[in-house]
Amino acid sequence: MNLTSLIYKNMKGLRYKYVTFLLSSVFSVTIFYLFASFVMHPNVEFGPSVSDTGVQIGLLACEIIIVIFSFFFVWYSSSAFIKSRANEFGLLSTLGASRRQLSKMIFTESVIIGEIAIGLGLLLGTLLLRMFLSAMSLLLQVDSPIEFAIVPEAIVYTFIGYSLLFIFVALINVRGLKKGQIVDLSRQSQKAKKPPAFSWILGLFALLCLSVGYYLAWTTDGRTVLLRILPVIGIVCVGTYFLFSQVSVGFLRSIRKNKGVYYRGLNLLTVGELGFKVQDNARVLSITAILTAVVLTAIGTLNISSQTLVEMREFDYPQALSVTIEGKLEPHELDKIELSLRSEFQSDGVHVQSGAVLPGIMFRGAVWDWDMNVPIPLISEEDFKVWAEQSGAPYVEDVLPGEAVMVGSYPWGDPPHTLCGDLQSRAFEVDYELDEGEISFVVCQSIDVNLLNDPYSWAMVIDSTQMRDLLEVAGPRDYLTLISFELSNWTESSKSVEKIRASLSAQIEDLDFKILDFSSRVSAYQETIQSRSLMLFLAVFVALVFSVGMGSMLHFRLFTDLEEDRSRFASMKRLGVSWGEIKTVITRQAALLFFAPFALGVVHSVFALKALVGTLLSDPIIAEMGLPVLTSKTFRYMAVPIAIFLALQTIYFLISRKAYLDAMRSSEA
Amino acid sequence: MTVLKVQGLSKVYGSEKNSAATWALENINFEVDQGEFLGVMGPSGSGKTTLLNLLASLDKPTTGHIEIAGVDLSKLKDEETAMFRRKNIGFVFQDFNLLYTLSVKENIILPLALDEVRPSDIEKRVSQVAENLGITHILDKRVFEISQGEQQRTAIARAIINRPKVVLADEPTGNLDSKSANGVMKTFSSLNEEYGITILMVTHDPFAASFCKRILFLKDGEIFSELRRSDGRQKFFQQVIDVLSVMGGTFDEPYQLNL
Repeated sequence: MNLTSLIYKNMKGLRYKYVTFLLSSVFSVTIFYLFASFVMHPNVEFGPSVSDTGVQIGLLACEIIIVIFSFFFVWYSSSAFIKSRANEFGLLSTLGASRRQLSKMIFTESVIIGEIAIGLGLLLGTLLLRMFLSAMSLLLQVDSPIEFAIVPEAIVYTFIGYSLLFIFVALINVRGLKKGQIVDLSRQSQKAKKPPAFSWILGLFALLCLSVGYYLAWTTDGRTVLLRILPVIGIVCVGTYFLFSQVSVGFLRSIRKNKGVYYRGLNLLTVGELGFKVQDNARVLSITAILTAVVLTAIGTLNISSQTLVEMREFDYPQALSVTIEGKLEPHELDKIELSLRSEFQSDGVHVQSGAVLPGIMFRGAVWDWDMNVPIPLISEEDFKVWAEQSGAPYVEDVLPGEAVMVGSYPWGDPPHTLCGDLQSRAFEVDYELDEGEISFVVCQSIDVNLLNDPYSWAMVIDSTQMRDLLEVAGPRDYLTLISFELSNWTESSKSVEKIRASLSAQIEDLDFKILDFSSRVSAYQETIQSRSLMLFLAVFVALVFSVGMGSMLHFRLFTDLEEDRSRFASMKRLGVSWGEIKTVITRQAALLFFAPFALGVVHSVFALKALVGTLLSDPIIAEMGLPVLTSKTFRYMAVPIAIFLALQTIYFLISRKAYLDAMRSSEA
Repeated sequence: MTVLKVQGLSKVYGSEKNSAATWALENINFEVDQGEFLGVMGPSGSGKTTLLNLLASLDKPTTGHIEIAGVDLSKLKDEETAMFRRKNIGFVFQDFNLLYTLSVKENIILPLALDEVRPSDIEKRVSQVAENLGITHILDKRVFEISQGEQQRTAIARAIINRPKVVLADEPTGNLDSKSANGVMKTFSSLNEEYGITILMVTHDPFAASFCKRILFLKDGEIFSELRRSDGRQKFFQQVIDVLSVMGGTFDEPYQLNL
C-alpha cells in the first residue's frame, strides 16, 4: 500500500470528519466568492459622490472582515480536524510511518480537500447569487440593479486566494506536527488543557481598546470618518478578542471565589466546562461578535437610510398628491373629482388624512415683491378653512378684503409674525396685474404649511367675498383648480396614484383643460429607491451572508468538542448526574456561546450607527433638514432589526442545541 | 444490618430463546452487611463487570432483584435512579473518572454541590475527608498535575464525601503501579476499619483482594466459592491464590495498548 492509497482509504474511512471539514471550507469559499462577485460585477459602479465613497469604504471593510474571518475559520476547522485524528496519527507512527510521510499525507489531504472545497464553493456561490438576485427583486419590488452574470475576476481571485490560504494553513498544521512529538499528538485529546492565565494588564487593555474605539466612533463626523473607520474597526476587534479571552476568565474566577454561587448545584459543572473551553471559545466568540456588529450595522444603515429617505421625501413633497389644473371647473365637477379620488384611494386601502379640490385664480404677472416673479395662486378663505381643518393647519385669521395670508413655508429667514391690519412694511405686499388695472394684497400673516408641492408651493388665502368678485373678472386662463391630498400610508399609494393620473388626465382633456403639474411623493420616493437599490441589495446581502456564517460557525464550535464532551458527560453520568442535569449544563453553555457575542455585537453596532449618523448629520443639507430620524429616533429604528436578528439567533441556537443533544444521546445507547 | 441484597440475579445477553444467548450471570445470591469489605474475584469473562454494572444500576437485570438500603433498584424510574445512585452509592473506577475540567477539590465536592449542600458544610466536609485520605496538600491542583495514586485517592474522597450506604469499587488498582496500589488499598482498608464504611470491590488482583474481609469467587457467571479472612493478610493472600488455582482460567486482563 503506497501513500496515495493510504490517503484515499483514510478519506473513505473517516468520511464524517472529512465532511465536516469540507463543509466548513466550502462555506467560507462561498461567502468570499459571493461577495467578490458582487463587488467586481460590471454593473456595480461607483460615482465620486460622498455616499458612494462611504459605500465603497464599507465594502472594503466588509471584505477585510471576510478575509480575516475565512482565514481564522479555515485555520480553526483544519486544526480541529487534525486534532480529532490525533489517535490515528499516533497509531500510524507506531506502525512505522515517518514524520516526513505523515507531514506529506496531512499536507496532501488538506490541499486536496481545499481544492474540492473551492470547486464546490464556486458552484454553490453561483447558485446562491442567482437565487439572491431573484428573491431580492421580488421582495423589494424593484428591478434588480445588477444582472446575473458569472464574473471571471471573482473566480480567479477566489481560486488563487483560497488555494494560497489552504496551502498556508496546511503548512502551519504540518509545522505544528513537526515541532510536537507525535506521541504528544496522540495524547493531545486526553491531555488536559491548562487553565488560561489571567492578566490584569490584558484585561484592562481590552477595556481600554473598547472605550477608545467607542469614543472615536461616537464622536465621528463627516470630516473624520474616512480617517477613523479602519483604525476603529481594528481597535474594537482587538478589544473584543481580549474581552472574551481575558475578562471572561476574570469573571469566571470571581464566580469561583463566590462559594455561595459556585457550589450551588450545576454551577460547579457549568463554570468548570466554561473555564476549560474559554480559550477555544474566545476566538469564535470574538469573531461572531464582530460579525453580529457588521450585520446589525448593515441592517441599521439600510433602515436609517430608507427612513431618512422617507423623511426627505416628506420634506421635498409636502403633499402626498398635488395637482394643478388650468381651467374653470364648476362646483359640482370639483366635488365629483374629490369624491372619485377619495374612493380610488379607499379601494386600494390607502388612508386619506386630508384632501381638497379647490378653485383658485392665478393672475398672470403676479409679482412677489422682491425682484422675483413668483406666481402665487389665490384661494378663498372659506374653501381653505375646510382643508385647514382636515389637515390640522393652524389657521385662525379672519382676513379682510385687501389682506392675504400666505400659505407655504417661508423661505427667507423668519416668517413675519405681524398681525393682520397692523402692517408697516411694503415688503409684505403682493401685487397682481389684471387685464385692466392692478390689485394688491397686504400679506398680514404666513403659516408654515404647504398646500401644494413645488413649483406652486405657495398660495394666498383672501377674503371669500373678494374672491367671488375676482372670479367674475378673471380671464379664462386665469382659473386654476388645486388638488391637495395627504395620505397616512403614502408609501403604498403608487398604484392608486397611477390610476388617478390616467383617469384625471382623460377627464381634463375632455374638458379641453390642461394639467399644469401633477406631483406625487410616492413616485419620487420610488425613483430614489430604485436608484439606490444597489446599496439596499448590498446591505441585505451582507446581513444575510454574515448572519448565516455566524450561525454555522457557532454550530461548528459546539460540535468540535463533541467527542471530548461525550466522554466527560459519560463520566458525569457514572457519578449519578442525571440526563436532565447534563442537558441543563449543555444548554447553558450553548446559550452563552450564541447569545454573549450577540449582546456585545449589539453594543458595537449601536456605536457604529452613531458614527454613521454623525457622518450624515455633518452633511450641511441633511443637517438643515434636521431629520428627526437621525437624531431622536435612530436607535428606535434599531429595535426591529435587533429583534429580528435575536429571533434568527434563537433559531440557530435551538437547532444547534437539539442536534448536539441528539448526538450526545445517541452515543449513550 | 444488611446494606446490599442480591436475589436470584441473572443477566442474559442476546435473546433468551436464542441458542446464541450468553448467560453472563446466573442465579446469583448474596448479601453485604453494614461495615463489610467484600471482594468479588473471578477470571476474565466470569461476570464481574456485569455484576458491578447491575449493582450500579447502569444496566438492568434479566431476572432477580437488587436491594440497596432497602430499596429495590428495579422499582426506580430513570431520573430517580440517578438521584438514588448519587445519594446512596459511592463509586471508584479503574480509570478514576475524574473531570479534568475541575480542580481536585471541585471534583471531590461535586456530589455535595449537586445536592445543594450549604457551602460552609461543604468546606467542612471536604477538609475532613481530605485529611483522612492525606490529600489536603493537593486540593487546589488540577487533575492532570497529580500522580495516578493521588488521582485514585481523590476519586475515593469523592466517593465517600456524600456518606453513601455502600462504596462500589471497580478494579481500583488496575491502572496503578504496585506502590500506589498498596497505598490505595491501605486507604480502603482504613476507611473500612476506622470509619465503618461498607465497600464492595471487584478485582482480579489477589494482592488487592487480600485487603478484603470476605471474597466471593465468580466463575462462568456463577458463585464458585466464598472465602472469609480470619488470620493475617499474608495467610489470606495465600488462601486466595489457592482458590484461584483451583478455579483455573486466566487472570490476565486483556493487554491495553497505551500509546
